[in-house]
Amino acid sequence: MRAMKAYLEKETANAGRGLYRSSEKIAESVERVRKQIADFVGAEDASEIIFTRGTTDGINLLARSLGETFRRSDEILTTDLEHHSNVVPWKILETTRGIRLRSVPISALGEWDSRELRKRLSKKTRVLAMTGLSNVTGHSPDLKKSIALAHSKKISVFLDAAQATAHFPLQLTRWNADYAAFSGHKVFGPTGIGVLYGRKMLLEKLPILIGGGGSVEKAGVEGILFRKPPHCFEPGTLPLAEILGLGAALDFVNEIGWKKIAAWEKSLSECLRQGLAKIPGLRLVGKPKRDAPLFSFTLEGIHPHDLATFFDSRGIAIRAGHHCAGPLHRSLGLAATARISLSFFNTEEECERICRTLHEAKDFFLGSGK
Amino acid sequence: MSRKISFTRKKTGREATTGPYSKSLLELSRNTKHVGEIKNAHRSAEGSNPRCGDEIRVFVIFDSAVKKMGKGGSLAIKKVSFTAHACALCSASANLMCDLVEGISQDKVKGVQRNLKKFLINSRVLEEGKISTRSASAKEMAEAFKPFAAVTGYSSRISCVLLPWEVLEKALD
Repeated sequence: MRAMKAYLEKETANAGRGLYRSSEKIAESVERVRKQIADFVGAEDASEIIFTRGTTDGINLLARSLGETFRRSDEILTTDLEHHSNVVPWKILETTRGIRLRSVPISALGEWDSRELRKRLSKKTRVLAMTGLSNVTGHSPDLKKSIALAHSKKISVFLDAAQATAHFPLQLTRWNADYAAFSGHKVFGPTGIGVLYGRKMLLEKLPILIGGGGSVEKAGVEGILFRKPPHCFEPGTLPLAEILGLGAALDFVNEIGWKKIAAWEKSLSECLRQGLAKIPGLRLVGKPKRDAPLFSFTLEGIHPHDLATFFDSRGIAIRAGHHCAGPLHRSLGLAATARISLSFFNTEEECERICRTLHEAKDFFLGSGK
Repeated sequence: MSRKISFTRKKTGREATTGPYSKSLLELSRNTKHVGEIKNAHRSAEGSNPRCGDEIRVFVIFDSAVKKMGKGGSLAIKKVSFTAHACALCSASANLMCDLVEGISQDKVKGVQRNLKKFLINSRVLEEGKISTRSASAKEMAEAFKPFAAVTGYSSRISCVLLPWEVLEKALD
């Protein structure tokens, strides 16, 4: 907020347009944040970082561009764990490009394994689009193994890193991910800013479908000379205040450090898991142990929507519904679940308060003693 | 042992309330009088609110004097029932709906629905005389809608209350 306020109050120049000092200064700041993001996600080079409006925007950009290279018989493989934003942009290509979208099914525990993945990777598969961390089960698939399996069949891998980015460090180069996307607001930054990552040599070949000022060296009716990646994918004025906000958010996370974050989240997860296990009629979605302190569940006799409203009356914000993960809920035969998603700024006292509130909700909706 | 990461926290200063759930609304939601499928219903329809997971199916029987199930004309509703996997607001509204529409003609149903919608946006509309009273007196409606008075502060839950009525409208169309 401070970073955004400072820009909006004192330095509102556009980046890379004017020759005056304030324009140069903001341009330098944008590239500094780009480099910062590259380090944060384990990218090799800042040119692999494209600014977008968020994960969904990034996936749409990627799907549409990659779609230009697909043939009618090609296939995209996604999974039943995915957020709608990692399903819909690919599904749209069925209509626009005639490709086929398939999905890796999940087990009753809400996960898929490499055998199911292997069965579905075929000669026609061009992209595996998978999540780095489920926003419902709190589980992370075996990323290195899945990516290696896909690469062994010359299949590119896109990683939806929206949920993962706040809970463990991304190592995109080490994992060999070809593309990835995440949103600033999921890692304590502002809304309206996100990142699409692509390996340098892949971005250099990725078709450019949107353009305008800022993305070209030269343009006219006679032809266009695009800038090199990532700038060729960033037409128009970037969300400058939001970029600075994202940079400040990453500073914040780095200051605390992943080791401390991981240890505290593990402790919180265990604290909440133990408390939830003592609530009769509460069923967790996914295995009890998870990779992030994120718990979706049903509570017998109380609709998740009612639960969320009750929690709101107690000053606690939880989600209810299908969390934009319709395929997962349908696979598990669930119309809706409630979801508690914690982060490193939550406390054990809050975990205890959550469990107390669940007991109170049971008394309120079902009567005492149930 | 892991060390807590400390932050300065502001208390919300929020007192616990019952939200939109009055005692009468909860009782209405638990009522099973109108729950169940009507085999050979004259009309039925289903609907859902995919955003929250409410799903409901509504069944209608018209007055036994009506032999054909054609459209046109205003038929009297003899019985309405429902099956649902839904939140307390939706279930309560479905029960209220079944109570209110039984015995009235189908063209009056939309009027009751409109009045309920106005009431959910502003529970004072009855006192302010801004509601049509063709289907029931203002006093009757005030009494019937009373369990839902607190829903007016929860705009995201109004769709839960209106879902059964929208499905009934679909069944009657």
